[in-house]
Amino acid sequence: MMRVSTSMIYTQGLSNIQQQQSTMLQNQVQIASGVKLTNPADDPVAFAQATNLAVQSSKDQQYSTNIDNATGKVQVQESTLGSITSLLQSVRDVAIQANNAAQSGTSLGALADQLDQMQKALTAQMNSTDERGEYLFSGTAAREQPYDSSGSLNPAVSSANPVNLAIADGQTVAMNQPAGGIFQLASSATTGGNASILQIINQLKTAITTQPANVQTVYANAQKDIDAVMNQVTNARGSMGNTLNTLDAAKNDNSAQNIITQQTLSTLRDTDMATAITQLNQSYINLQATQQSMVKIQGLSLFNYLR
Amino acid sequence: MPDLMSNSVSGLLSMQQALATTGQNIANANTPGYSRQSVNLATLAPQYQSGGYIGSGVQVASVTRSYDQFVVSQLNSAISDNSRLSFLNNFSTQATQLLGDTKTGIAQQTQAFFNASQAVAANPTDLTARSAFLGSAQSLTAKFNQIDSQLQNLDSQIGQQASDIGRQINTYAQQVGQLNDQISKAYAINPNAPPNDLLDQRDLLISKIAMQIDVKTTRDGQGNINLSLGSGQALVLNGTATPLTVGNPPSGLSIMLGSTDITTKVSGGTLGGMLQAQSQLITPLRNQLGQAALVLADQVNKNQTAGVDLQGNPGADLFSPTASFTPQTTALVTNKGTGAVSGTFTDPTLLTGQIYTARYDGSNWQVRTEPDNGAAPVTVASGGALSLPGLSMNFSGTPQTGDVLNILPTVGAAGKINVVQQNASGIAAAAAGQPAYSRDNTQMNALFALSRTNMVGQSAAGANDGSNLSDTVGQAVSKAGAFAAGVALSAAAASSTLANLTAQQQSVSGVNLDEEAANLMKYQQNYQALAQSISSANTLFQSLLSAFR
Repeated sequence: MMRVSTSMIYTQGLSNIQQQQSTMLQNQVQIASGVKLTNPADDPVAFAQATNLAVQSSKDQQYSTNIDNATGKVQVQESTLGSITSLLQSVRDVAIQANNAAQSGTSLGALADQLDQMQKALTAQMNSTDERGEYLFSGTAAREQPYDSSGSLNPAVSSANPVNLAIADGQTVAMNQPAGGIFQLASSATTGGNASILQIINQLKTAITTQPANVQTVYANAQKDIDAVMNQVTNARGSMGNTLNTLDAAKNDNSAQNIITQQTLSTLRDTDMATAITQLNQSYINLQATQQSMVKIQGLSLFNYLR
Repeated sequence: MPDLMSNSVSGLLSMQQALATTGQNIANANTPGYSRQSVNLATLAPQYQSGGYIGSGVQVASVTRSYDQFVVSQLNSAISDNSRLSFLNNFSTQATQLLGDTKTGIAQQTQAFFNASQAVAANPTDLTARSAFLGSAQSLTAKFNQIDSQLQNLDSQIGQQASDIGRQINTYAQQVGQLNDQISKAYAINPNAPPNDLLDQRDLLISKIAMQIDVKTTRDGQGNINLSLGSGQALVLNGTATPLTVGNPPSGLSIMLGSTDITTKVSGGTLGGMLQAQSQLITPLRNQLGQAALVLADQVNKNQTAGVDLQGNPGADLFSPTASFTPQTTALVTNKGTGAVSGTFTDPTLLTGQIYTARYDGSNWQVRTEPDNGAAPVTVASGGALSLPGLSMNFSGTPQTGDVLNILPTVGAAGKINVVQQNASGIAAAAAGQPAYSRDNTQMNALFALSRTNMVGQSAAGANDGSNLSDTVGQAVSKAGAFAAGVALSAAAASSTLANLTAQQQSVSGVNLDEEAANLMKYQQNYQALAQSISSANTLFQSLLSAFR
């Protein structure tokens, strides 16, 4: 039998009560905050894992934002190229109509006017800007207007590159395509050199109005060039469509990945309510029992009988 | 000649002393350090009369305290251990709490900074995105600064607390010395009458010293208890105490007993815990965070200066330039020479996160890693140059044999990192050669890629065989967490050992009030019986007298 000192009964009883209170407080904080991992010391391994997962998740969310940004920008360009395609189609129709012996001077004049309107619309589309007032088709040269009134390509845009954005580790997409590769022909049939679609239309317009001797050749060349440019525009749209598909797939991958990350993270970090509440109940009952037993023991003293 | 009267009177006197002692026990039931006392009763020498020896009563042979020297010395070492661990436990919980949780921790803020570069990458000319990026750089450096200064505060709090503890130990030691004098005098007068309460007081003082520092006790058999610290240096010898001086210079806590440096020998008590907290938690943590901060500054600055800003001008540093950081070095206060070491960072990514110590052996500096990894030390002549991974150091001054210098390369660097780029338009998002207002985001994409480049602690520039920045920071945090968790476990064990030993000690020395109540009854009844005996003796004497009337 171990001899017990009276002060020991109190000290140990008190330390038991304090221990249970501290457990209860911990449970209570876990339940209230919904987080069980608040200090690296709680569970260093889980904390390290949770930190890595949280960083991963934050990076994934950034990639997701990047995907949304890129998608928005590519969609705007893609739809602008759609309008440009239909404008080019109309230009092509005019070129074919003009190449008809039955056209009179008046009707040719009307066609030239029509062409002029289309050229203006086309210029506006090719120089269109985004919500921040920057040019869609100027690549890296954000504030350089791609085409001037004469239809020649701004040299700053000509030397510009596409802008890329990261959408996953090691994966980037082009957010935009500069005008050079879409609206310029390296060797145009009409001018014999590098020319923009606008410059080709200029030549076509002049030919329609002035009807030079080689007008047939001009018409033929212009048609060839328009077809070539339309081809380039279609290709650019196709490539943007591909980019959008890539972005869509990346978005799906990203959210699937992020769901898994979040689930794992939640298992590591968040309070399991069932467990926490059970523990709280347990500590509550323990504390109650300890308090009651302490009061009982306290009542037991031989001195009570020395009266 | 023994008779009923004188035997009963001797009993009455003894019972009075026994009752007084019981009263003393009850009075001190809750006095710290009190050992219950008991009277040892013995018969008085019997007298020979015709027919045999007749007892001549009872006496109090001695009043002794219930005391187990073995348990007490075990208890003292358990107290040292427990207070070391409970200090470390509280301290490391406090320190790790500063590092944040898994949602707002510094690892996440590091990633958040890199994420912010992507808003600039999406719209490189957008000043709002650029400002947000600068803002996130500022909150990251603020977080680094805050953690470093809080860790430094904890460190200087240790210093203040430690010098208070030093003064306390000195007071206790002086009192132990005085008690030694009184106790040895008392024993000299009567070896069989222990000065119980003085003994208790001295034991209590010793346990209070043990709480602050690991102390060894030796008894000289004359009643003195001598105390020694470290590897046997005397704190108290008989009546004399040697003063203890505790300081917290930049090189860390220093504990001097008289003129002897016992710092490295202290391994227990709160002071032992403080030494461990500094060397095993705070310094490595500050060093690792500093390493991450320095690599961040260095690499992001390299990225920025390689590009052009919104105006097309060459990029400038975003964070404090690498040249503004210098490796932290400290010299022990006990150094006798003027030897010093200083240097510069050559390539922060090559830093290994190591701490080094250089000890002068009389002709050369011997440089080892701290903690010693067992590798052969690097030998550098006094005044020579030392090349370490990522560091270039130079020794100077005239050292003396035994002098020690510490090289803590990146301790404090996390507190020095700042955002020096003031203008949102100054951020270099575009590659070199791009004109003003370029939408090029090459530098921002490269910056984002830095977040997953394993460059911290790489073996050679471009090797990328180290770890990335968030990982480095995360590792530093979880390493501190692992230390704290280990300490918490040991602290729980030490506290239950202490509880067990205290129970044992109390089992021997503690007062049990029920027991005292029983004793009270026992002595009271005995006293009443003795009173009755005296009354009987009186009656007997009266009947004898009446025979002559």
